[in-house]
Amino acid sequence: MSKRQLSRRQFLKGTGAGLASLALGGASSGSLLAQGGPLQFYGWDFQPDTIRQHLDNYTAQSGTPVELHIIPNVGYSTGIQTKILGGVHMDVYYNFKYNSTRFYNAGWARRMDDLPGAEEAMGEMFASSVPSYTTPEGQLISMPYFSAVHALHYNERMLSASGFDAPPQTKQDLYDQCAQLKADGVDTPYLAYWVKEFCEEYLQVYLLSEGITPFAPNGEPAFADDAKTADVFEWWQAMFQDGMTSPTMLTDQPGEQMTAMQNGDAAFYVLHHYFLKLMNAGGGPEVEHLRIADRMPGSDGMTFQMGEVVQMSDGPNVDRSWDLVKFYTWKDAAGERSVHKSWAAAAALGAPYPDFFDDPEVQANYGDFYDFEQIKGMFENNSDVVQARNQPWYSEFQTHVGDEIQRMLQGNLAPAETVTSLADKVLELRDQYS
Amino acid sequence: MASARIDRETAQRRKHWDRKWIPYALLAPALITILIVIISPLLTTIYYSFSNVDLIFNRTTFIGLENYQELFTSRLFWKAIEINLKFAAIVVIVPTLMGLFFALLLVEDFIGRGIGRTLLILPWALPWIVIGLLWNWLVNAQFGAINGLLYSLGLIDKYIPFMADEDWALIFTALASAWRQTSFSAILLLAALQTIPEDLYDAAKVDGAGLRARFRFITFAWIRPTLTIVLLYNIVLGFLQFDAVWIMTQGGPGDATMLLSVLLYRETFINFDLGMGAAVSNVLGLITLGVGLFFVRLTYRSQAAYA
Repeated sequence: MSKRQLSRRQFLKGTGAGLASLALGGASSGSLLAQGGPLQFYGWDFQPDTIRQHLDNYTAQSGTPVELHIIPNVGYSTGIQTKILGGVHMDVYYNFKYNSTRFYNAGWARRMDDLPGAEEAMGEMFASSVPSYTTPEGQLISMPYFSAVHALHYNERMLSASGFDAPPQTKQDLYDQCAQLKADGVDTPYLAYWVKEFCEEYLQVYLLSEGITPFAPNGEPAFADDAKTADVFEWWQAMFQDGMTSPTMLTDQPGEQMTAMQNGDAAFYVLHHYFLKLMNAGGGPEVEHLRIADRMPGSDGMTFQMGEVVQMSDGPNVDRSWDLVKFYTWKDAAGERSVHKSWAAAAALGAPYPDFFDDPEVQANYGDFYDFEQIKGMFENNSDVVQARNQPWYSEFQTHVGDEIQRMLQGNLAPAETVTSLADKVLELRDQYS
Repeated sequence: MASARIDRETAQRRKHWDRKWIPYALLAPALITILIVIISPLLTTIYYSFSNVDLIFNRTTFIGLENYQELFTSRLFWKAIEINLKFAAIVVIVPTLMGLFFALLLVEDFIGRGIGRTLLILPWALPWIVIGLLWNWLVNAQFGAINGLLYSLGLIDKYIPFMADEDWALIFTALASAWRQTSFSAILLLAALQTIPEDLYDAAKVDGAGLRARFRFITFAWIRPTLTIVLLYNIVLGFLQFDAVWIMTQGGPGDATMLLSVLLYRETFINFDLGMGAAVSNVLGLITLGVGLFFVRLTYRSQAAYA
């Protein structure tokens, strides 16, 4: 009996010692990670093999090993926040732009403008793109994972067949061209990605195209002070209710919409510039006639520039982390934009650097259906990043926009009421987050 | 002598200690696991629902009933309750009845039964995200298979934009969920049906029981416990379904498919309002628990009436 008890005690002792050594081992390996082991890179699950390839290339170039951690796109923000709060160290990570300031304020992201080469990197960007990566005070807190501009894609042949020799210049033009196309048998000439999550990007596109300032530099809802905002909403509502778009536009996904463009079931499509490549890759009877308009229809013709970012944390690995950030978001050791070029080849993702669009390799990968001067021009002179989107309250505003815009499109909310509702929400959130 | 008595007393005390504490020691790992995995998150969620949780600065401030007050005065919340009840009704009724139908069909011996049983498992084997994408294509207004079928049968002369209509959007998101759940329900019920002894039917036939009587007093009575489980699963899904609906509509068009689970996701993972998310979560949990218990009691009460 006493032998059995002894052995049980020994067993418990042994197990305890084993667990303790495992825990200590884990802790020490965790601290090793933070103090000079492999860099910890976190990203979401868009082409993880390509990300791995980039990191392997970086390791080959610098000799620094990098561990890749992939988190699903849905719930990515919460995933990384939970990990950081739980003590997980991330050296470099993807982030959604709307989270960049929030992470910086929390001390989870380091400013980069004091690091070597940062000024040069910012200097190489389109001037219009820089506010995307900085605080309102001008501190660099993120770098570009990818960039894109919203563009009006149109079917040149269908427009010509309906008697139009150029894409629409104003919103009224666009409505009129749609009405004519509809009369000529195209049931739903206009497509837009108006699902709830995306209505906010369209809000920016339509406001900017009319020359409306969406937000003041301090985040005030400047759009509410411009009478043209209600006009934009009225046009938006008319397009939907008069049947210029598919009635299923509030739930349709890009896959269905691209197919409609590829087959000639629609003649206009507003979405990121890289969708032209995706539609060409998809094939179909009408793809050779698809073009991008030089400007968004509207009195000002501006469009919205979007993209997501890469951030880095502070700590003992700053130099190595910054080196990796530069490789991933700017240039490799040979001065090549190899990572951005690779994303261009994979999905025609853009980068906010003018020379990127001049690169023959990028041009070859994008395809000859692109006019690179045009895309460059849109980035350079004809787009805005809307810096308020970096603010911590923005994601909640984004949700509200989706609800209210869909209610308005369905006729359950008047355009003027929509303007008031959106402005009130901004004020409420700014107050709440201040 | 005295030493022997002390040894005996010590041994007895040890024995007594063992008898008293060993059961607890043996239960401890399971209890600790339950405490960590279930009780602790549950208590945290309840606490969060009365708090303002700031994820960034890791601050939690107790605010009493504020989250619940805001929730209960929100237009969207009551709309979500109404929509969720309709959605749950479809997701409970359709898979239970269809599952029973397929189970009764596939328990019979006929050529192709093996293929039928294999096909039955397929929807269940698909992830919810795939189900959402699949049904999005099925109901598409331009090239959807459902429109194609109705058109080729001559039932419609023009493709219908189902997802533009609030009622149809709710029905089809519910049917997408019901489709996969039918498969699961049928598998469980088929397993139960296969355990019914053939002798019972033979005896009932000898006693002159007809088809309806045999179904009611043998088949139905036998599978009732499994049916209760199926019903419970379907109720839980009816209130907690999220993935397929999010993929298909994100709660739209308008508020047409704004389930409580969608509201919960938005509050927690998009707005990062953990306090409000926890409040929605608690309400959702209570509703699911209440409806589930009601049906279980109902089923067992009628079972007692049979006994």
